[in-house]
Amino acid sequence: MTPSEKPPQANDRPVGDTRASAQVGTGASTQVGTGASTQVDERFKSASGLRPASAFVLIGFVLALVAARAAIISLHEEGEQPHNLQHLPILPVGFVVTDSSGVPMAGSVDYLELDMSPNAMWQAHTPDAMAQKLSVALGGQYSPQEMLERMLPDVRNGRITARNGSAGPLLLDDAQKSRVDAWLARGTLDTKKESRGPIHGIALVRVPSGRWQIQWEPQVLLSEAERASHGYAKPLDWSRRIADDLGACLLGDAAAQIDTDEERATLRTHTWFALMPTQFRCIDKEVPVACAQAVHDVLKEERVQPHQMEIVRHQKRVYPVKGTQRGVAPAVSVLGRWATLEPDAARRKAMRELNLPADDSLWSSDEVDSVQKRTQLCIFQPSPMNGLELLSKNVLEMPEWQDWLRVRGEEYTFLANQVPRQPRHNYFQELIPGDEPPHVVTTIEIGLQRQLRSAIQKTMAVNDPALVMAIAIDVATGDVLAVDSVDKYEMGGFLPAVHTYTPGSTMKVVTMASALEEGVVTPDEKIDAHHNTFVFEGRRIHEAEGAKDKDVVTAAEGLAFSINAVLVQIGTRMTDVAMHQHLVDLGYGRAPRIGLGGESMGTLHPLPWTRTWTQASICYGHEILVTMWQHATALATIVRGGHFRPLRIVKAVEQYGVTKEIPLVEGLQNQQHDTYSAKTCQEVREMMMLGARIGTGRKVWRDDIVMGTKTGTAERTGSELCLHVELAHVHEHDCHGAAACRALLKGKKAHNGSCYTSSMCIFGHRPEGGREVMVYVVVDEPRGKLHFGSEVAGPAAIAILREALGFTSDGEEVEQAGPDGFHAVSEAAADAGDQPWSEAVHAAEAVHAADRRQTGAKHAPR
Amino acid sequence: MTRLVLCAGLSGLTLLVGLMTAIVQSHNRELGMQLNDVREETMLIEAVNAASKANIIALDHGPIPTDAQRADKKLTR
Repeated sequence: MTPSEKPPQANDRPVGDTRASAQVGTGASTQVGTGASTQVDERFKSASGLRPASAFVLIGFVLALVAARAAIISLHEEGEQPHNLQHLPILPVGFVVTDSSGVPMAGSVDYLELDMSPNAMWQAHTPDAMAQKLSVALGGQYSPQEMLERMLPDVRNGRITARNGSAGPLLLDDAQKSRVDAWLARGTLDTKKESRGPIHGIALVRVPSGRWQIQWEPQVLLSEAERASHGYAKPLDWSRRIADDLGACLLGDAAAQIDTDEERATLRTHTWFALMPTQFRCIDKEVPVACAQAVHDVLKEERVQPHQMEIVRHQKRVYPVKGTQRGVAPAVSVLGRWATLEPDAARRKAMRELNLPADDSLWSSDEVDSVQKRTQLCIFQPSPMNGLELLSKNVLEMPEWQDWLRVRGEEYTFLANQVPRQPRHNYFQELIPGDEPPHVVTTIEIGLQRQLRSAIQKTMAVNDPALVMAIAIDVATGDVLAVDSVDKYEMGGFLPAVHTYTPGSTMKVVTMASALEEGVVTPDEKIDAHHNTFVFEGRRIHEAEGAKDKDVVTAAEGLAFSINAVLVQIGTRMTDVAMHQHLVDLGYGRAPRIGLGGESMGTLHPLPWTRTWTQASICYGHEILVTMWQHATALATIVRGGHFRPLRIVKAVEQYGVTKEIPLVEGLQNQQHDTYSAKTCQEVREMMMLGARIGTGRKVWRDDIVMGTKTGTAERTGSELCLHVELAHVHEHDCHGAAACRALLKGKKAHNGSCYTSSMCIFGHRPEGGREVMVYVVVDEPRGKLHFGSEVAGPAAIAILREALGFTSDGEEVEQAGPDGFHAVSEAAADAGDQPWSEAVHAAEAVHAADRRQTGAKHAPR
Repeated sequence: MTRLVLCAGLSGLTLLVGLMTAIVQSHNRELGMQLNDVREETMLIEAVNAASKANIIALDHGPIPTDAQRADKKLTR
């Protein structure tokens, strides 16, 4: 082939001559066909005349533009990444507080709250229709009118005044007013559109400043009739029309400059916000369980979106054994309560938890955020504040449980997808069930607790004291079986650990044990009681009424009859150091750290003591202030045999059927060696048993119990305030005992005669054995005729002890089993089975049995 | 020819996979919505049950009466 014969190139012919190109191409392939490279060239010749490289460049350029735009959108422009995957707020796993046998005393249960956003709701729904339906769904609990009042919180006297955010009512000038008037009169802003009549339910009201307020009636403006009269079928379209038109009226000429959807939406949102400002409203704090499904169905049927109105699940604490009567003090006040904190207190707590200095200028920005978050949490989320609730929470947070306890809350994950102009749809993704709430098992016996409560209430009613406290303890373990208090002046706090008082003669038990341990006295040693005339180193020692006629007695009788002169002589034989050490070993003068909330340390004078005054006074329980918890711990230590045990009120934690016992505390310093020997304690026990038989406790003596007692009747000195006067003043003025107030109250009394603190410690067990229980009752300032411990506190103490030992059940005498372990019961009692359906038969049989007994008929014993 | 068949097959399979994915995805979405509804109702039932249980426990049936108390009650009827 010569150069002149080479096939014509595409560039050689005019652009657009496709036919020629096809022919040439075909011709080339058929006619030429001399080489593969020539064939490829021919096949890929561009029909348009453009070279392929140019096409690739063009496409590449377009793709690069797209990529650049995408990069700008994703990296540079402001916007939010859509978070379609959402999690429902995780409800924390609560805990259950049970009594020693598993009866729930406190726990968290779900409740349903009906919440709404009036602002969102009434954009898309008709108030009257929703009120009707919800009223029916809620079982008629609220009438439709009441529902409307709840769902339209901005309405005052039937109207809502449009607001300008937090700046007060939205005020219109005359130009705006005339535009709004024109719109209302014509019903539309579109001058080309035919008017469909005026808009009802909006009025402009002149205010003293000469400007105008928008006042509107949602029931009228958003009614179905009004909507229909303007040709709108859907509430959402109608509300948008109102907002758009009103917004345009307010803006005037500036409205013409709005040309994007975003600007239009913003104006609509602001206008609607002015018309319906409230964003959140709780409609029903607790939807009745029987109505929950009906309400849910109404919301679903009406296509109410969650951001408009929804049933929200919350948790609350319930106290099944507390009783529900309002105004009645709870039956188990030791349980304590959950509460939220005031903002100041919440902030202080947050700072304390984060270990931050008081000066907030030293905090980092992260620390500021952390403090704010924790503060908000304390303000809005209730948490245990005191009592067993607080103790249980702290027990569960102890490090030893962290590997074992599972406290993962329920987690629900869903996809929330929303197509523009369509309602949002949620799609299930994952549900992880929450863990079973752990059970904190206390040592409280709920039956005994009830009786203890009943007994101290009775004491309160009979003796009219300022307060009564009582505790029942399992002597061997130090487990608190029941503890409670009642007071006249709403003192607050857990009184057995907070309220301090003069223990009086019950302290003689400690004095005697210390003296025996120090070897300065023996139980049989004869000591002169001096007939109430004893003068100790120039100080006259007075006696209580019952101990005035005693002459020479043994040391044991001195304690049994509670003779001050004897105990002062015995107690002052010890050095103050030795006596002080025994008191410290028993826990006096320091907070017991129970974990139930606030605690008092009591008052134990530091050494050295004046022998004539401080030491002598402490010998019979004066010049020392104790809490009931401290004193009960000390008395139980002596009754137990000398080994100190802090009183225990929580004994185990359970979850998923596994129980982990909380071991008895053994590592304390005062547990390394017993402050009293077993022999000493046995001797003191025998003295207390003597006291129960013939001494100050004889009024409560029961021969069916192996028991010992020690009474206490502490008369307040003139320098001490009358507790009634002090507490009444604190209750009224909330001054917490300020020094100025105390000075003001000195010498005042709320009753005749002296002020006493009456108390009784009683321990006992059944003759055949079984557990030994110690009961200690304190009655502070009784105002009745009686004031001796055995008379004031004694009846409650023995009643509690008998209940604890099973002689009574729920306060009623229990028939005791015979030696063979069986009860002798009447036929009627034997027939009284647990079959309520056969009650009629049993009643008839009882009548026949009575007839037979009357006629002397014999029947076989059951 | 082979190339043509393979390409057509591949294209067809791609379309088929795309179609199947769309169908399965749509089905999953439908199931997701249903499950979400079921979950909402379950939550409601759980809450209602919990509240009912709390109410029952709070009735406080008190201690079991002794034989003597039972007998007294029977005879007084």
